[in-house]
Amino acid sequence: MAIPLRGDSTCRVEQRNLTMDHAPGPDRGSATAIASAQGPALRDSAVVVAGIALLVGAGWAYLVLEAGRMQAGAGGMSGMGTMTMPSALVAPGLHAWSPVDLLLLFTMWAIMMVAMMLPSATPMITLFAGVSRGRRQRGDAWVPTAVFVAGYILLWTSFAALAALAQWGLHRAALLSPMMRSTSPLLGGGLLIAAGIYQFTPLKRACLSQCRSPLGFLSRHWREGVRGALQLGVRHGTYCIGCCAVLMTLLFVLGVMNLLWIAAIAVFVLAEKVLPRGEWIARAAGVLLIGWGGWVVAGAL
Amino acid sequence: MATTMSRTTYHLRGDSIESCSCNHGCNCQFGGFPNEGICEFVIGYDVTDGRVGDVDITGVRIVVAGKYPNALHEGNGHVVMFVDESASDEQVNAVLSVFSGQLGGMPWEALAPTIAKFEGPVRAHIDMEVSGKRSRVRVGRDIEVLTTPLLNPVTGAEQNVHIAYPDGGFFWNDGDIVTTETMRAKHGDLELEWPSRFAAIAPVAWSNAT
Repeated sequence: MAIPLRGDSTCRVEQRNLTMDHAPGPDRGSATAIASAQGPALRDSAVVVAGIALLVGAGWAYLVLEAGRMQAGAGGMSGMGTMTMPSALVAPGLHAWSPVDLLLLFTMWAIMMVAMMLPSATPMITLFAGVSRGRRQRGDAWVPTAVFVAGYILLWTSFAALAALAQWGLHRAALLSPMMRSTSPLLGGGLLIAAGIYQFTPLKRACLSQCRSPLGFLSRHWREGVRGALQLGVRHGTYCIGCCAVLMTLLFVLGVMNLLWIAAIAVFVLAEKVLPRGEWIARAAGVLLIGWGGWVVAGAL
Repeated sequence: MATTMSRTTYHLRGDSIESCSCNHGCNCQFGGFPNEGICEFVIGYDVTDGRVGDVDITGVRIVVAGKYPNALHEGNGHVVMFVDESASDEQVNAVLSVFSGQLGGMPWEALAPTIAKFEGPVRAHIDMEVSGKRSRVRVGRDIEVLTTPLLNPVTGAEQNVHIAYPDGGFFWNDGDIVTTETMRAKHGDLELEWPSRFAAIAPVAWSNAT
C-alpha cells in the first residue's frame, strides 16, 4: 500500500552533556551542581512531529480528494473521475462490487484510520524517539522510530480490512446510501447509543488510560530490538483502537466519506487523549451520543 | 541502526520515599496528567542491594528533586540529583549512570528524554530513615520530606492504604500510601513545597537486564 511512511528514521544528533566524565569530587559536601545538561532535543522532536504531520497530511489530502470525487460522482454526472474509488460506491446497486472495489475500499479505510488516529499517538511516538536518540548517542543498540510507527500502521490496516468487509456486508444488505451513510434510522440510532455507552465501559477507560500515560506504558511494556519495537507499536495501537473503534463505526451513520465528521471525530479522539481533563471530555461525549441516538430512534418510531 | 555493544549491567533494590504535588493517588502513575497541571516531586532512595558493573552500590542514598511544567511525559523537566557524601566517586558515577538513563532500563531510560535540565550529582549529607508510614529524608537543610499516615477523616484513626500494580508499576509495584507533614526543596532556582499531598513508601527493584 502506498502510505508514504516517512517517520523520523533519521533523527539528528543532539548534543546532550549528560556524561559520566564530570568527576564528582571537588565539591564534596557542598550543594553545588557538578554536571548540568540541557535538552531535550527540541529539533529532534520537531523531526518526529513533522514526520507524523507529513503522514497524516498525506492521508487527509487523499480523503479530501476522494470525497470530492465521490460527491461529483454521486451528483449523478457520471462515473468519470472516480478512478480510485469503487464505482459501486458512486452508483450503488448498478452492479456488484468487484474485488478491485473492495481493495480500494480497504485502502480508503486504512488511510482514514492512520489520518484519524496517528496524531493522538504523537506523545508516545516522541517519547519512543527520545529513548532511541539517547541510545544512538551512547552507541547502544537502537531502533528507528519508523519501525515503532510501522507497528501501529500494521495493526490499523488490519482493522481497516475488517471495516471494509463490514461495509461491504452493509452494502449488500442495502443499508448504506450512495454516500455510504446508514439508511436505517434504527441501525443509526442504535450505533450512536452503543458508541455513547461504550464511552463509560471499563474497556474504554482502560484503553484511554493507557493512551493518556505514555511514560507508564513505555516503561511497563518496553521490548528490545526491531521486533520488540514493532510489537510495542502494535500493542499501543491496539489501545488506540480500543479507544476509537466504536467511534469509527459512527461513520456508517454519519457518512463514511463525510469529511466534516471524519475531522470532528479525529479532533475528539485527540482531545480525549492529550488534554488534561480528557476523561471528562470522553464522558461528556458519551452522554451526547446517547441523547442523540435516542432522539434518532424516537424519530423513527 | 542496531549496533550491538555490550552494556554495563546493573541491578538495584532499595527503599523509596516518594512525595509530590498531586493529591493522593499520584495521577502521573495512572492517568498521566497531574491534578495541579504541574508535577513537582522529591524522592529519596536507599539502596539495600545493588551493583552497577563491578561497583557495589549497596548502602548508597540518592535523592531526586524536580519540577515539570506539565505532565511528566510532556517533558521540560528540571531535575536535581543528590548523592550522599559517604558514597565513593565510583559509586556516584555508577548511580548517575543509572538515574540518567545512560545504562538503559526502566523507568529511568523512559524518563531521560523528558528531562530538559539535569543537575548533579550534587554531593551532600543525606539523612534518610525508612520506618513505615513515618519516614523521613533530608538533604542538608534545604530539602526535607517527613511522611505521616493518612487519617480517617471521621474517626481520626490511621489508615493503611496500599497501591499495588500486580503486573508491575512505573516506579514501584506496591506502595504504602501516606501523606506529608513536611515536603519542601530548595536548590538554586528549584524551589518547591507541597505538604499534605501524595506520598508513598515503597520498595523498588530495577535492572537493565533484557
